[in-house]
Amino acid sequence: MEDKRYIKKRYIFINVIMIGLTLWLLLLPKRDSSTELQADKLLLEIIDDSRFLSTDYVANRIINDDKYILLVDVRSPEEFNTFHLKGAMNIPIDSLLNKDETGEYVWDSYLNTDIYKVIFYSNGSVYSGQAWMLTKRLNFKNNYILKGGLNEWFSTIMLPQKPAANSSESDFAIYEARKGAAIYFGGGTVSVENKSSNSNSNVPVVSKKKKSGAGGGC
Amino acid sequence: MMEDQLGHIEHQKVTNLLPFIGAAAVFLIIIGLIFMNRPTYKYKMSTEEMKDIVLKRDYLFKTAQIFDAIYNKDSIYQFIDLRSAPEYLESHIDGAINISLHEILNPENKKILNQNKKINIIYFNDQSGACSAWMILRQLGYKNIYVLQGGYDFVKPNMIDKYNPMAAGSTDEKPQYNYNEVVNSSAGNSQSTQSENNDESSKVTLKPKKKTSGGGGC
Repeated sequence: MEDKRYIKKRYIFINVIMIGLTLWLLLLPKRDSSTELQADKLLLEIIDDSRFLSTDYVANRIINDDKYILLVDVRSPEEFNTFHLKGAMNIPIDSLLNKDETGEYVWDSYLNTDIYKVIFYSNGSVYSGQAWMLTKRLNFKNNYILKGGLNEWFSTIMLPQKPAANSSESDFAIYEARKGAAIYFGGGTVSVENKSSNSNSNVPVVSKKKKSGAGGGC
Repeated sequence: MMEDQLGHIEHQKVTNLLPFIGAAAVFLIIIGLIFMNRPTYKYKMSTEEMKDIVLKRDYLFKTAQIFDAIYNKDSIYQFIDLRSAPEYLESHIDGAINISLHEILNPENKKILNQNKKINIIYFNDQSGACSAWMILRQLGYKNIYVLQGGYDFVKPNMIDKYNPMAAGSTDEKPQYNYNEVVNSSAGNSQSTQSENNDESSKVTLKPKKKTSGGGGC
């Protein structure tokens, strides 16, 4: 009889400790946000330039009608409506992290996939970089930044500078590709929103470009 | 009777051991918790809060204030150069401290980067890079950090080497082109009568080349 009571006491003691520890362990994950990218890992991501995609690369992808890139314009809707890159969708930074009723990110199915290469752009690369930093902390996959933004897009793709006569052949090749791209993008976007006189004359141009674009895409 | 007693003793031996086994298990759990992989860097705010701070856009140190910060020796401003050591040695803003981007989270740099006495102005080659670093530090709760507008690649030629008042307010994110105008002129085809478009009309004659470049893209 004596023994039994003694054992019971010890059991209760161990049980209390075990249950206490279990409750403590249960509470731990709440404090530890392990799904997020920690600051040191985030720093590693910004040390090199792998998050940037060049304007030439992106232009080439658009012309070749790549279905697996997703251009995301992080500027305001007004700026987006005035001008945006072909096929881009508008997600201003202030709505980037919006959540639905279930607490999921609204844009998750676009911005965090294995399928799409998401390319953020703004006028420069500061705001697009901020959008990238926010989604990167949330561990979104396949997110990139258009290097230099629309300003660089226009200085390289839309208004390419002819390389000096003594430049290498590859410089000239890039220049030729950019000139071609300038014509492609010149026809493609304008017809939507500009003067009727212009767009009328653009119509045949657009159709030609579409053909050549399809040819380029194999 | 004898066997019963023996069984009872055996049973008691095991039950006597149980508290020690329990204690050992508790000890192991505590050891495990001590050596648990805990995040070294803890975010002090959620991504949503960071997004709101980003949208306030009050983190910029305007280029117009730069001379006060450099030449006023009592200035409360402290420049931090995030570029690599060789770049820093080649040239830097007077009085700047070099903390390369990959070293910003080192514990010994924390007392410089997170302080109340001075206001830190961090700069990188471009504003975007410094802004990314700022976002990491800000999310870790560092105070008094501002980002140099334009970055060193802008400030060096336009402010320090030769003062260019026209450039003072410029930022990476300011559109440098009237996008639609450029697109229009790139789309400008042979019917166009405007003199500006003469250059561009020569591009139109290059359409066949564009096709080849499109083909080369794949």
